[in-house]
Amino acid sequence: MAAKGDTFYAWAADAACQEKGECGGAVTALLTHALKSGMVDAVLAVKKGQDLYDAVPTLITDPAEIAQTAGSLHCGTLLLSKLVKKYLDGAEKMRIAVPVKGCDAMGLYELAKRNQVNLDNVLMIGLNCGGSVSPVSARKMIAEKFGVNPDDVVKEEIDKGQFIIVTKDGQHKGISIDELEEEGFGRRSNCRRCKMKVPRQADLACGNWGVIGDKAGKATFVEVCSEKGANLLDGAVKAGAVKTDAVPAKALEIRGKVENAMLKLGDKWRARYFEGLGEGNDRLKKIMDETSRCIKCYACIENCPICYCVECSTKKSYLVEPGQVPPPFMFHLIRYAHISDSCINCGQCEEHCAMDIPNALFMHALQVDLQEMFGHTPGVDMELPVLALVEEKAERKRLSDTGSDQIFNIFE
Amino acid sequence: MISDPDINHVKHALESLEFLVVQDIFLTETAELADVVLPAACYAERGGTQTSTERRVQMWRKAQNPPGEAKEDWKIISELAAKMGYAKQFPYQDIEEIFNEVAALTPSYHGMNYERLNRPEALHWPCPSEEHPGTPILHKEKFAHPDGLGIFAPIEWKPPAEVPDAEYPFVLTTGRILWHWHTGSMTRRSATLDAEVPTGWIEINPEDAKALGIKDKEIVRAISRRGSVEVPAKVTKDIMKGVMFMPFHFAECAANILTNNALDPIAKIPEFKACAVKVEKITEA
Repeated sequence: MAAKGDTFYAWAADAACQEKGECGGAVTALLTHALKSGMVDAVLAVKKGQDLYDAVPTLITDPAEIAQTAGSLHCGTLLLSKLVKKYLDGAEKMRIAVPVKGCDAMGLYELAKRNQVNLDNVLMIGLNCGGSVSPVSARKMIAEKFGVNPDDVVKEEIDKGQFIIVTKDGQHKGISIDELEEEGFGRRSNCRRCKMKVPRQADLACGNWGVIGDKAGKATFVEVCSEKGANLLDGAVKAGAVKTDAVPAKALEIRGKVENAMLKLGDKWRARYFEGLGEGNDRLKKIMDETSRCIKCYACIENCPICYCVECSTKKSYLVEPGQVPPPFMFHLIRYAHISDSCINCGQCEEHCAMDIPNALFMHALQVDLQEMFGHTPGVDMELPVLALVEEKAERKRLSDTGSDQIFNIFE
Repeated sequence: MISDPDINHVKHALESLEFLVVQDIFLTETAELADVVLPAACYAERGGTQTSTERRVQMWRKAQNPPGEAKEDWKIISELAAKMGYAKQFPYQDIEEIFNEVAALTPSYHGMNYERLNRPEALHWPCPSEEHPGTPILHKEKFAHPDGLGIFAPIEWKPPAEVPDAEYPFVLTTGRILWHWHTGSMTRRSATLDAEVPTGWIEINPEDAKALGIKDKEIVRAISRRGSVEVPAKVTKDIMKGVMFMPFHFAECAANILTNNALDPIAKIPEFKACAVKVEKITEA
């Protein structure tokens, strides 16, 4: 019987699933088992869209369709957390299995704290993630750095510090991520700063780090992170859907080394980006200059996994004068005030920004400062944020009754 | 009834028609005057192609069926044609068939088909053959004249048909704003955009406003030789003295009640950008 903290090598028993999936197809087999066994009502995952650089979130209730989501897609992957809130009723009436990157898991926790997602009904299959690449930059990078027509690429992967592509005619070509990133290509900037590489707040954490010897490329390293995760793995093994093997001590050590190297890389990029932002008035000026391009399209707010209010303060005419572009700076100040203590650096506000404002960098920099000051880390567990977690309606009534504008007095 | 100049004249003309059919996605101000309204499909409810001013021919993809009795434009026209006895000339089963006919009949579209258009950058006409990559930039090397050179002709400046005088002392210019599109038949039905900009205004320079005794946000009466509207004043130094500006998207304070339908002699574009107006304070009756 598996228990929290246990680690296994796992792979799909089914040959087709092994072939279609990444590293032995364990995740595909686990998702299929979760659906087949009735442990969940549906699976929310991403499948290939128009091309290799496009990913489409899809809700699956027929186990036969899960194979469509097998295999890695590093370029189109967007955040799944808010989709659960917006389109799946916060998993209130449906049990859903979701393969999650670190940011997806963190987003789900933050939404759960705000009563927007019912985590009891969410089964999270964590995926180790070294980062993702924006589709536009990926196409450019493949054309310019790899000298390959992006439409001729049939597979891409990130392994051993390299971005690797496989072309139609079976050629492999890899370039080191460090080299690509020094030249402005490579991973999204929020991914570079990310330090949630193994999502242990999920029910299982799965990946290829630490899979060595004859299992390399043929098995997935699975860490059991909760009782729910243990039940899924045990059930899948018992049903003959997934096979497991013990993890050699050396493999555990290697996985730890890879994770640590990734965390150090995250620190390096944080230092670089945050230093570039400057401090105090310099930072404020930089933020004001950059946000002066804002067209008030609301993509940042729509896609933020922390934003959930029905009545958004940015739409109050006494706070933000309507009909102005760029909107008054108060628009951005409201976002910083409401989100920064809980920002999980998912990058959505920057990815979706039509004006290429580095929104995620600003918010993440604020979050890291607040974390130092108050010791609260968002996205890792159900600990409530420092600043402002309120029942929206009750709080609006309290503010109106008392005539106060203090949502929460942090100096009390 | 919103976007044409001299709306009172437009109304008179439309009301004088024997029979008016309007095909639109909403019951617009014009549709209200129609004998028959044919409910059409919006952009998300139909497929097809759209050619933009930059000559890019892009595909539209249908996301959902039109609501209620609404139909895609090509179906409305085909069915109407069939009723009128032209079923043979409009035998279309789908939109790709129609595009193929367009491409076959239009030399600059000859090289286009759905397979080639199905990519983000699409194709720009002229694209005369299937091997032709399309023409994103026209006249890049030379113009179409035999010697390859363009012809530039100077034009003498002429004043607008109507210029300010003692009775109508201000120039009224009209235009668009960021938050609404054209007649507002779509954007004014968006709660979000309505919250940003709920109605129109007339921009008045602070010096002119002071002379007229008008304050910011005060409802004033703007009058031209064609008609008058009541509209909130926006006192701002963004507009120069002697000139006033109104966005034209708003039926309740329609700028085009005031505008002049004098036409450019060649392009036939109405003089939306200049007519003469006066502005009055509204005094209680």
